[in-house]
Amino acid sequence: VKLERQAPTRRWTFSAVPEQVPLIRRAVSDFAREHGVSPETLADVQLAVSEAATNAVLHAFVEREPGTVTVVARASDGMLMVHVIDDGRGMQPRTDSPGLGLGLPTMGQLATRLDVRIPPDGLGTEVRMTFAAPGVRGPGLPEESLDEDRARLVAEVARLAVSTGWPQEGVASLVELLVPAVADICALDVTEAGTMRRLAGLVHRDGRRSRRLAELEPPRPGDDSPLAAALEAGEPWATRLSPELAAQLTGDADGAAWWIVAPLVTEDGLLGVLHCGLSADRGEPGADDLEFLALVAQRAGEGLARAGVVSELRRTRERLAHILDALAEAVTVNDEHGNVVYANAAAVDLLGAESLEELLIAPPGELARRFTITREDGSPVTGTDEFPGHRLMRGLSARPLLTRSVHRETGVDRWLLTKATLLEGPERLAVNIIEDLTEAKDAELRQRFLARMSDVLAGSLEYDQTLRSVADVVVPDLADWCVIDMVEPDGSLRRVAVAHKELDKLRIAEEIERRYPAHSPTSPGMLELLESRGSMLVEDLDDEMLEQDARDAEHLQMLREVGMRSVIAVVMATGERAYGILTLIMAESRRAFDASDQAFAEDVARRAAVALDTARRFSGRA
Amino acid sequence: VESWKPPEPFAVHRSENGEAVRLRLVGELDLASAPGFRDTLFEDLRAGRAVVVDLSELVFIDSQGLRVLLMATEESGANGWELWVRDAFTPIVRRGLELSGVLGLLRTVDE
Repeated sequence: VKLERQAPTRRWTFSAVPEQVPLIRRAVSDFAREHGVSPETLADVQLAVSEAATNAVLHAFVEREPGTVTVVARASDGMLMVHVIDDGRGMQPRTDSPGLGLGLPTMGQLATRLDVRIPPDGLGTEVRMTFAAPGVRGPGLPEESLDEDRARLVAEVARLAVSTGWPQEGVASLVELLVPAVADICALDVTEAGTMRRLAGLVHRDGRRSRRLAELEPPRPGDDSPLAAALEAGEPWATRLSPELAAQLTGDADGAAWWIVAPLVTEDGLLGVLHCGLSADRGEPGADDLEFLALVAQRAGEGLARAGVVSELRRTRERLAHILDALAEAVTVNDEHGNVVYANAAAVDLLGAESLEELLIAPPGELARRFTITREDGSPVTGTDEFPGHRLMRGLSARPLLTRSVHRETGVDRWLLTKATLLEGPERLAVNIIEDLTEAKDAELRQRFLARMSDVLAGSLEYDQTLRSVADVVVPDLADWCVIDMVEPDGSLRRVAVAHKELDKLRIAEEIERRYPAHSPTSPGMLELLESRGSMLVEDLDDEMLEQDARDAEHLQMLREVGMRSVIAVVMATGERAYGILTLIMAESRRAFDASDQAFAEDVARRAAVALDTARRFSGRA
Repeated sequence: VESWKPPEPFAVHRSENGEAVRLRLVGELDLASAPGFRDTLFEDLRAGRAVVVDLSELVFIDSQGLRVLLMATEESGANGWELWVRDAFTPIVRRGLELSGVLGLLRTVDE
């Protein structure tokens, strides 16, 4: 009969190392399953046991050899009890390795009852968990030290502390739980940016004094204050109040007779302080009161630790705006409708806007229309739908998009890599990071071009053929048009190569050359240029220049049809002689050349001239 | 009679499908297995790859596993990394994600 009354109990001992955590969980869940615990409850048991075992392994043996974790499981009537006991250094505040604060609150939420204490032998930590487990049979629950009401209160605090709004939503409920159940006065202070801030205060049945308490400056740890004593002890500390101290702590002379200060200490350090004032008729607080408040403080503290991680994430986002403005990368944020709601300084510049306001009031897609946008392979990007931020909004995948964007007005040509991230919140936002890869991309294109040009120059010793090949390599990456004119023995210029990627355009060029041969379509000062052996750059060719250059209305019409935007002309010369002129023209792509393009064109012309020198020597041509 | 199998040993199955790297987790994610997962995950994220974490075959997760996901989410937000978690969980994993509040912070993706 006595055997039947004994609750089925099993005991295991593991070494306190990470690899044992799954085995501890397995042992308990096997036991629980054998005794009829339902799968739902089993999930909670596994989670809670895992947290307890992890705490023991991670925190009990810091700076010492791993000891042991002893686990005891007991099946009782409708209950499963699990004790996780380590022989480590015992509970203490830690300043290193800020935790997630998931451990204890999680356990508190999963277990019907949670009790953290020093084991009877005085070493280490003992976590006692009781789970409601309908279907488990065994004798009734043994007596525990905490009475039912207080156990319920602790569970309630644990639930508050893990709720999402904690601590802002919930501290009021916390003090309401404690007043008048265990105290007549209660206040909660929370550490914020190194200083204490009072979040809640409640005086039993006294709204006026409650408000005063809630607005009172939190006490500082003076030499002999209750707070200093509690902080030094690292656990709840009871002090008999003098009238002066009572006035100081409660803001009112007829305060409490006893004052208990419970520090909220977690792995993250001191996160807050719970104050409880007890009237004289409650008597001197006993060890059980302090033990109970220690549990409350622990639950509240673990919740704060977790809330800290979450609010840190939020703060990070607010700070982000300041950080973003200092970034070299352009950052924009757009909402679901494609409106730009934020842009940093680099983005304003990159998007060719005068000001942030201009960006913000621009209707969706308006900015994109300021640019001619193509992919790396030259295919057009039409509209904003293809951009990663817009794709994310539609639930599509969003790989970084590399584009070549040419500002329609300024002709400024940029390679941009756009990456996007979705921010889920009250409103869905897409954050776009736009990286300017122009320099790297131009260098890559030029390298590729020079390699191809070397092949071309090495491929033929025949003048005209070689130059036609050079022109074909230039188009369309480096220019829309490439024209090469050679110096004839009589000093005149002869056109040997015209390259453009479209045949129709080539026909116009041929027509111009046939009908107005004395004037090249590029510039009137060609012979002068040849004389100088230098190069010239027209960044932005306007219609006025064409008018000056055109012989008649029809000629002007044809020149306009070519649509020249920007021109570089450079003499192909070696030390010995000038061979001709290489002309690069930007037209329909609306790109504009700059000084670096000019320097590159000079390099190309020099290489061509050297090749022509070589060809001349081998062919014996003068 | 309920059919119960011991969980598979923890493993991360990594595959690339052009768009993204997929990390498919099997077994249990806890103090014993979280460091390995963390290293694999951060290696791909740091390399600038879009990562989809698939927990649909994971049969257990506790604060150690949740911590890796939370840290990776935070770092990804700060660095512009692409981290997604497939919106498919076993009941016990979903319970862990919900209890900890981590579920609301993840960028989940339906597949």
